[in-house]
Amino acid sequence: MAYLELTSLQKRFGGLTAVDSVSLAVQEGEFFALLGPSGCGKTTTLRMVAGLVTPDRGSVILGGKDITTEPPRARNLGMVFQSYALFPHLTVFENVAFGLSLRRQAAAAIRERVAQALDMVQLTGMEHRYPKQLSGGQQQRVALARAVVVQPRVLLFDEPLSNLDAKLREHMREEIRALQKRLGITAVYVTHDQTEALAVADRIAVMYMGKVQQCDTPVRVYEQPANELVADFIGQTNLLRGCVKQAGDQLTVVTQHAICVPLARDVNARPGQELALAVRPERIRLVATGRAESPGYTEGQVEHCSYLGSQIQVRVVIQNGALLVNTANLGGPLLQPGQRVGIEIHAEDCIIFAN
Amino acid sequence: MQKTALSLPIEQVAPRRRTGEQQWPFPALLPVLLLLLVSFAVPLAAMVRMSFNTKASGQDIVEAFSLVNYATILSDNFYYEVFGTTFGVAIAVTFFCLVFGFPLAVAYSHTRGTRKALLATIILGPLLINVVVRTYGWLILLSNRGLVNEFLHGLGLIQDPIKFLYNPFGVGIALVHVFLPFMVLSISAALQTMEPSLAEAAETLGADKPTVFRRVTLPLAMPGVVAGCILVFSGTLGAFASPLVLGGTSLRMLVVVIYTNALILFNWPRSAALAVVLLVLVLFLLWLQERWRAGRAAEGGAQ
Ligand SMILES: Nc1ncnc2c1ncn2[C@@H]1O[C@H](COP(=O)(O)OP(=O)(O)O)[C@@H](O)[C@H]1O
Ligand SMILES: [Mg+2]
Repeated sequence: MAYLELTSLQKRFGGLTAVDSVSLAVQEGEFFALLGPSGCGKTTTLRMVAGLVTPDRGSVILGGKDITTEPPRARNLGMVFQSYALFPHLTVFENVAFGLSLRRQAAAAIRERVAQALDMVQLTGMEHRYPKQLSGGQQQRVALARAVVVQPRVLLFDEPLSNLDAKLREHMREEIRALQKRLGITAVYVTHDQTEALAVADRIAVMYMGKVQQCDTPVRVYEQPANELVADFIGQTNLLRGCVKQAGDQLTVVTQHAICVPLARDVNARPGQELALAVRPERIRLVATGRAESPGYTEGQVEHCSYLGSQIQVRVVIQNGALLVNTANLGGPLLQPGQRVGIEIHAEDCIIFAN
Repeated sequence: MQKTALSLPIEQVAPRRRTGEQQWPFPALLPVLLLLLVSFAVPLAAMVRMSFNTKASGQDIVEAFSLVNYATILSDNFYYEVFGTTFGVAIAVTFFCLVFGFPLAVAYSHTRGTRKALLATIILGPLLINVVVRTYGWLILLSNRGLVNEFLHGLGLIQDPIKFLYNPFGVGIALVHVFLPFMVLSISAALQTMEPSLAEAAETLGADKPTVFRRVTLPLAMPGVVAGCILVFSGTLGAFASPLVLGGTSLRMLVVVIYTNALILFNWPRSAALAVVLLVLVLFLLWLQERWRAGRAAEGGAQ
């Protein structure tokens, strides 16, 4: 049995089902991310774990015990809020000591543990500052220290980095991950940022419209998305709808753009079937023009080139649509708008979704 | 112990805004300042000047620079009684406004939507009705043959009517009614700056509701409580209609005594001196509040 289990959690707000039968199992010590677009029910799910929202149906089981109806104070969880929720009238020391003082610890023990926690987040020496005298990143660290100092059974994060700038965000996410692994605390981490989730999580549950679409490791969520929604949300995806044709014993998908992509022998498809191919921009190859007989080949015209630093993203207009193609920045001249290019799509680079 | 961070990215705390550097939009303010000067500062100066004049009973006012009015106020037992009554009523009114106002403010800042609009109407509605009209309303309710006494008598709970009028009791009731909205507004203004997630953070850290109130809500509401108390207290000191109508001249509230001196005894100098004393008292209270606020700000605490 998993350490933290959510079974068929359901929460409605008026006519809106914010969380729709969500079942998840989080292992002890795992860094588990809840990922999805804004408004998909991540926060509500997390708040049901924390006890700040009461589910309409379903249960929350922690360490084998049903805690669905327990109040937040009885759960011993640490939560890091999106806004940090630091107490503005208390110093850094008092903020971090808040949970310990409620646990009736001796003053000396509190001082020692607060000092340890502040050392852990590198805020030693800031004890007597007030939250508004700290930068956003430092406030974030105080919130983190305040949550871990009580030795919670699970650490809950609600988009903890969304108020920081990009550089600091990357830095802090590594730090949070390292801290979590070092302390061995189970963590549930809510984010709408796929890069963040892919970078830090052991496993990711992708949510959409209140439902869990896929729950898997970052690699599998990216490489083998369970459905078009996941493929579309994680990273960028070109979705090519098409129909299966048979020539001899070779099955081929002919897409709406008139690209013929031969399928591997082991793919389970039958002639006449409608399906969709999802292919990542970095898996489409740009080739020389005039190779009309090669499988998966088509030609198009460069519409626009985005320089992304390590990569260059090209938008290519083809028959009945356009494709995004990423190429590694190897230092050559940029493609010019209007230039004709050849494109090759191979079946092994595609994820196939039956319609 | 292994450190998690590789290096701390450079990130500075924004320098605190200096208040002395504010642009002074003087030209734009000029018309308003002129209006205030003519309608406020000039009469005020005239009043202060008047307080140094003298008047013996039955005679004309004599232009002078005399402190005799202040000396009388500070030495006559009558005025000690006046200040005693006035402060007593003001303290009681402030206390009850706080006791009733705090829960109302909490409720007001926690509700949303139509319920909030309803609460706002109930709390703020009385402000739309003139104080004199409301005072006469209380007169109808509280007089010896008023609704309250008739009702209690009808129930057989009392034989003789309860005397609400011409004593501090009735005036207190009316003034609590008048000043309650101000208390509610200042406390809820303070509570509204408090994010809901603060209470939730406290709860996840192990606090029950009373602890959340004591250690988070109350300290954050304090600026509003102090502002509300000073507003109500100084407002009660200066209240006129309710003390006069419900207390009469026999209940010696400061403003009623000023009124009596000015318009019945025609002793304008003494009346002006009393008004100056009242003004100084109120300014002193505001100064106290400002010092308290500045002390908190220097400490770095809330707001
Ligand atoms: N207290 C609430 N009352 C009404 N609707 C809510 C409440 N909390 C969340 N919602 C709605 O539920 C949906 C999911 O919200 P939320 O869990 O906050 O999404 P996310 O965190 O994924 O952005 C949203 O449409 C939101 O408007
Ligand atoms: Mg959210």
